[in-house]
Amino acid sequence: MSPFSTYKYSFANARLTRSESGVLEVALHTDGGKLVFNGHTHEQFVDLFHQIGSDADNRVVILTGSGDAFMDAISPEGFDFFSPRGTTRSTARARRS
Amino acid sequence: MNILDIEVPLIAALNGPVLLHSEYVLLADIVLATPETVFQDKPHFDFGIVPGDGVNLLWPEVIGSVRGRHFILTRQVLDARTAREWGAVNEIVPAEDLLARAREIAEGLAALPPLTSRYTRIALTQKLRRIVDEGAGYGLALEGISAAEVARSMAAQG
Repeated sequence: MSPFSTYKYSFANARLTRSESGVLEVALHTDGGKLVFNGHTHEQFVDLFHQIGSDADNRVVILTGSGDAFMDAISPEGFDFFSPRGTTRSTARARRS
Repeated sequence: MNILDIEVPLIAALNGPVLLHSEYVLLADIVLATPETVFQDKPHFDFGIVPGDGVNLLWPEVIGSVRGRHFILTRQVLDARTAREWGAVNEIVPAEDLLARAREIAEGLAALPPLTSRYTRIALTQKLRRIVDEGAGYGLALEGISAAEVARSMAAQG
């Protein structure tokens, strides 16, 4: 189990805050505004959910977005559907998220 | 899916449209949404690939088999009100009150004995876990195969 301070600032696209009682708020974002989902955030969120799940001090989780959408924008950056290896990687990532 | 490995109650507070990765939301235990929130599964068919990452399993499970398949196949835009009627949203809350309402519910849950809230989440999501474990690998393989075909035709067209 990792204490909150070890991962609080580890995720560029998720702002994490936790109340005294253990309510963790997760606000997904890109540069503070609405999230633009891409292959990198996909990878990052796998780790994010894993960290949250591994910390027994998180008692309840609120998942929200930033700006005017929860998730409505996608960029092809960081996705690789053009090779069997890339597809395998994306598939493995999606299975874990 | 490791959202299900978050073994404490999960509240989705939707501040607006969910046009992709709506499986994140459907794996939450409580869903709050602003009146402006709409749901759609957009990018899969926009790219021309199979929506096989879990939305194919979860939408029919949550809103009903016929509705769920229609939602995916037609890229239907589901407004918050209809989503609430169909069981995908619990409460519609104005944007300015959204997080306050989520925190209110969350603090109530955080006041339960820790093992109780944790194990209740696990108990409530057993069926979803089975559905996801059983179908996600195959769905993602089908999505990957369709992506390879799209990539091949794009390459062939130069």
